[in-house]
Amino acid sequence: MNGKTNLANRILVILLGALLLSGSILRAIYPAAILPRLDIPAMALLSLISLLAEYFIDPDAACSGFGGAVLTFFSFALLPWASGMARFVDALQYGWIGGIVFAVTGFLFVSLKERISILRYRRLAASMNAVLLFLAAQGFSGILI
Amino acid sequence: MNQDRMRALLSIGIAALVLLGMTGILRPIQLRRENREMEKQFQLLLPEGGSFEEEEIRDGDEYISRVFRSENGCIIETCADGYAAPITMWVGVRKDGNVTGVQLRDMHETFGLGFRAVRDAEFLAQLVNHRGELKLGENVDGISGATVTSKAIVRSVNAAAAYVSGVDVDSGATQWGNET
Repeated sequence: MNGKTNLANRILVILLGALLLSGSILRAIYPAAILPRLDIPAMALLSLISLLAEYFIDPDAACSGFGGAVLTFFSFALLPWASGMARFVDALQYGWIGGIVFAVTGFLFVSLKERISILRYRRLAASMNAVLLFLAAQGFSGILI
Repeated sequence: MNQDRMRALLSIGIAALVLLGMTGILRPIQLRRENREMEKQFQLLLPEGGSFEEEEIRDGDEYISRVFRSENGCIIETCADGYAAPITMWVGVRKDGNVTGVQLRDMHETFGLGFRAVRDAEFLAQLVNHRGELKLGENVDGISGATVTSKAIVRSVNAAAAYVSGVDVDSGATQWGNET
């Protein structure tokens, strides 16, 4: 299989949906829980896990490009709104920020993995790329603060 | 639109519907437990406080977001800017301005630095059982490596105490928060 399969987007939906559902259950059981925010590092982490999982399943999958970013916009906007975590206006903000984060991490992840894919250790190399990109995203959000 | 993209859109729709349904089920449970938790915590923050009623905020500090009054004092919900995001706290204050309890309710400070405030008993203990202004570096030792967080917390406690003890806000008496 190769080409734009948008598998990473589907994995992202499952991950984000599971996390938001866990958050809702946790809040119902323990209302005083301080839960992590859905900020740029969290979005980058979710995007990178999805891209890495896509790579493990289909190593030849191409960068999903603009279409993938639009799908991610819907994921990050609709799911937090549906889980009651964000009001509609805030959810739209999550959407466009998430779309950009996914597009940027997706582009960097795919281009890096193609350049350093050593046949024997290509999965390890891709995982290390994801870790480095996550650290870079944390550093970037630190600059924004 | 290709089939894969349609599948992805469909999965977003299904996930949103599942979450909406679960939120509908969990929301009433969450509200019920939140109210129970609130009552329990209020009794801890202001012992012998009796029953609390939320009141409208009169001329108060910008950090005060909600006020719950009982016959012996108030629980003040404050919201001050921390390093990464606003820090929400509950502060129990007796009528005479004595701070009886402090609880951090929501914060997103850096793990290992500002976030330590949630469990730093030594730091939090300095904020209770006192009257009057707290100043970081004078009568309060901040959390090392988390000056912004410590300042925000001290500011919130000062604002809550000033609100209850009736210090004239217009005179700038609560402006100390900006200097600490």
